[in-house]
Amino acid sequence: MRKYLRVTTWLLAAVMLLAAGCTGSKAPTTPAPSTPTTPAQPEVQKGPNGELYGGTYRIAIMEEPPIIDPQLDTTLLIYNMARNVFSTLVRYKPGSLELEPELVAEMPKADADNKTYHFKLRNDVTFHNGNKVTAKDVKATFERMMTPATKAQNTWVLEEIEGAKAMLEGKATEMSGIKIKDDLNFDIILARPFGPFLQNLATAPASIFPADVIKEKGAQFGRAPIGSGPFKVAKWDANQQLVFEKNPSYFEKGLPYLDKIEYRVIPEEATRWMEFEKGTFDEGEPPTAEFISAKTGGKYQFIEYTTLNTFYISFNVKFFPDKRVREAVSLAIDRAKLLKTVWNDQGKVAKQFVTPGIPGALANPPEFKYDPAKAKDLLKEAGATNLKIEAWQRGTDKVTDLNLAIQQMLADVGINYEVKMVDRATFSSTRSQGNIPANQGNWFADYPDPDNYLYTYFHSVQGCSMSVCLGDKDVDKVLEEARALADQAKRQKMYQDLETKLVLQDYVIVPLLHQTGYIFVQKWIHGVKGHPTEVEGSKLVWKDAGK
Amino acid sequence: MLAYIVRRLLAGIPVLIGVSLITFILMNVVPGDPVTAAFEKRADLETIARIRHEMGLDRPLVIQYVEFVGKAAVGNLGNSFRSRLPVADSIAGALPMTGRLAASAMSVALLIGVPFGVAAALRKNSWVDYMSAVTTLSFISAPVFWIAIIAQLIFGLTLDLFPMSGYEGPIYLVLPATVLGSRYAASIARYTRASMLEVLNQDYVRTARAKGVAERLVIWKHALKNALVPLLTVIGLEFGGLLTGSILTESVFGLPGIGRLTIQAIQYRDFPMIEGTVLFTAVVFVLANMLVDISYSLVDPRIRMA
Repeated sequence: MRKYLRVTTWLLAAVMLLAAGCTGSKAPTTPAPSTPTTPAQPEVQKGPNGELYGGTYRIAIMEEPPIIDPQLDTTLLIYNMARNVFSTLVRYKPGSLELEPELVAEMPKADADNKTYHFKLRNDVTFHNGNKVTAKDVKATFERMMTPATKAQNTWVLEEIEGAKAMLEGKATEMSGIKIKDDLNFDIILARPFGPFLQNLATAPASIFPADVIKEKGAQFGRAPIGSGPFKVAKWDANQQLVFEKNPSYFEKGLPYLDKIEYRVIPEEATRWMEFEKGTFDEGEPPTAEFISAKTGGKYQFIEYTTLNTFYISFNVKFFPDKRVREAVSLAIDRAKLLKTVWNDQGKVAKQFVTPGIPGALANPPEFKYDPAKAKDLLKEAGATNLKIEAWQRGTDKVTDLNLAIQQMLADVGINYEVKMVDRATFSSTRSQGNIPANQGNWFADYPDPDNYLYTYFHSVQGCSMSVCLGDKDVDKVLEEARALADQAKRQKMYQDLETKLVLQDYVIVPLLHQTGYIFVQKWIHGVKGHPTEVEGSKLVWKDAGK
Repeated sequence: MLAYIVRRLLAGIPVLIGVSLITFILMNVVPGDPVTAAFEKRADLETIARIRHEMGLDRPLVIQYVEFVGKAAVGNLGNSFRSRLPVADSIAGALPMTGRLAASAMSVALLIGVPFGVAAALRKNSWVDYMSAVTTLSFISAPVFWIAIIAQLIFGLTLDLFPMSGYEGPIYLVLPATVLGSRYAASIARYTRASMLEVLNQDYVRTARAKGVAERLVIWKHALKNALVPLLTVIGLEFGGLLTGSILTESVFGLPGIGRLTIQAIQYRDFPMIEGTVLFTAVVFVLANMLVDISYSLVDPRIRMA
């Protein structure tokens, strides 16, 4: 008996030792078709500023993208992947909000009516399957987005084009607003002037697909996408990993620097961070508890960048019609303290809803006051002592942290702020029906224009899906008018006046903080900069030799 | 025997129908739907309504269910709302990973659990027995994801002995199989101990000893063989459970198994995938139960197939 116990224990120990000895060896994996890695040579090819070529950029992601199709999905991961696999007509300059050409030969010009734009494509761009990018592909891609059977979620990007709405309603099968002149030249005519139109074309959802492939593949296009971007999809192991490979015929000569990008799926946050600490991944995101030690530890690069976002508390005005109550909530929150204790100063206190830096945002608004005594008075005046606010939450680590602090601050003025955590599907569907009383959320700008904030949140066509449910016809009119104005100065004034009334006076939404973007990368990574829209792609990334 | 198998399989069909019906009802009653679940940022009502219509989600529920059953009966489980890939393919693709994890975890569980259970039974009420009881209770009580993260921290990061996530070869299974296996080892040890104790008190054991049979043979040949019979139920059902996916282990170790597939489908209200994984689970349990019952009759000649 003792003998058998001993035998088993030795057996186990032997197995563990054997296994430990085999740590180095790996089972052979099916080799992906790839370009040979640069062997050690006396003459190493370098970029214009000493960038090295080669290497694999390894990232851990929480879940695999269901499809790489930015028409059908709205997550940032897919937008970033789209920047690697596809190209857009125009794009943002690295780290800036200025536009520059990508697929077009020069920036498109608009006619005097501000509705007709002339586009001329570059002559030297091919898709990953070797076919040239032509005007027909642009038209087919845009028509695909507006075809109801595609079930695209990002139709807002192209909605202002003439004939787009007719397609969505099933009244047309072609977009009348796109006129092809020849292989490289085409015009786009808008239904009415829309200032941010070119910015929309720079977003990932406006990526251009090959006409023949989308026709052939239909809904399956997103699992084997073909684009004209700096990388192409080489391997996709479902729910496990995605491998992108360098596009050898990318039209920007000398780019990209990397040979491959590897995305590995690891659902657990702690595991992702431990693997990053081990050096398995090149980019990482620490859990909140580890943020300070990661930032100040000196082992990784901490890259900060400006992002256009606002974190806020939104109220469904149907549940909270009295603006004194909303103002009381704003007065009860010590924003500076939130920033310091919950976010470790990784951001700025918000004085407005449309993020500063966006042309048309309020220029110099006063700070939101912190005055708990006045908050209590307002609540008494409104007859709302013992108020209960049920704030719904779709939990992520950082959003919940803010909520806990807010709960405490509101309790100090007698408001019972109850945080109701629900799973994402429940949250989204309840929100779309306008049944969420309050919500601590955030908005990251799709394009740098007040319209992206104010129209999305306050126009009744969005219904109550952003949980504000304003439903004010006068506000709708202002928003629609401002959209169509060509006079930028006039537009911006309209937005500023609107925000001053709705936010600064009526507290229809309570802005809290703006977050400063950050990325942690290993010391051997270069070329990662961060972009205000949070969509960057890995075209300019390079690694130290041998890493 | 063949007739018995056929009867059992046929009896499984109402189970599958019942399970799929309950799942369908739950999916449509619970808040959340696949369209809004996929919307990360903006969601205007027009777009939502349009997409729901395109997906056929605004048709009467009875029609939707009947269409689903009709297709499922001929093996067409439909396409995932998320990936647009056939559900059957996705499940088949995740099966090898789950199978590997299940087999290796169960092996670890048996290798550790049975000997410890036997030792505890033979040394009843000694310090070996008490130590074993405490250890097994700890492993059953501790959350598996906690054990997993600790194991990753110690053996993966600090000592750098084993890889802590992903799968690229057998070595990647060491930590997950051990973590998952230790939990099942604990329950198997306890069952083995209980079963052994009961068997050791039987008359035939006393007879064997009286006849002068070597103690080693008494334990392993006579006692353990009989003690294993009730253990078969436990092993069979737990293995069935392992085959339907160990969601926490798969999440922590980043293994693409059925568990991940199921939980993601639920999170995103991916109706075809939910039905597919639930039906798969039901099939596994029907088969596991049937195989366990059959193995009883093979192991114990006293039991006849009714």
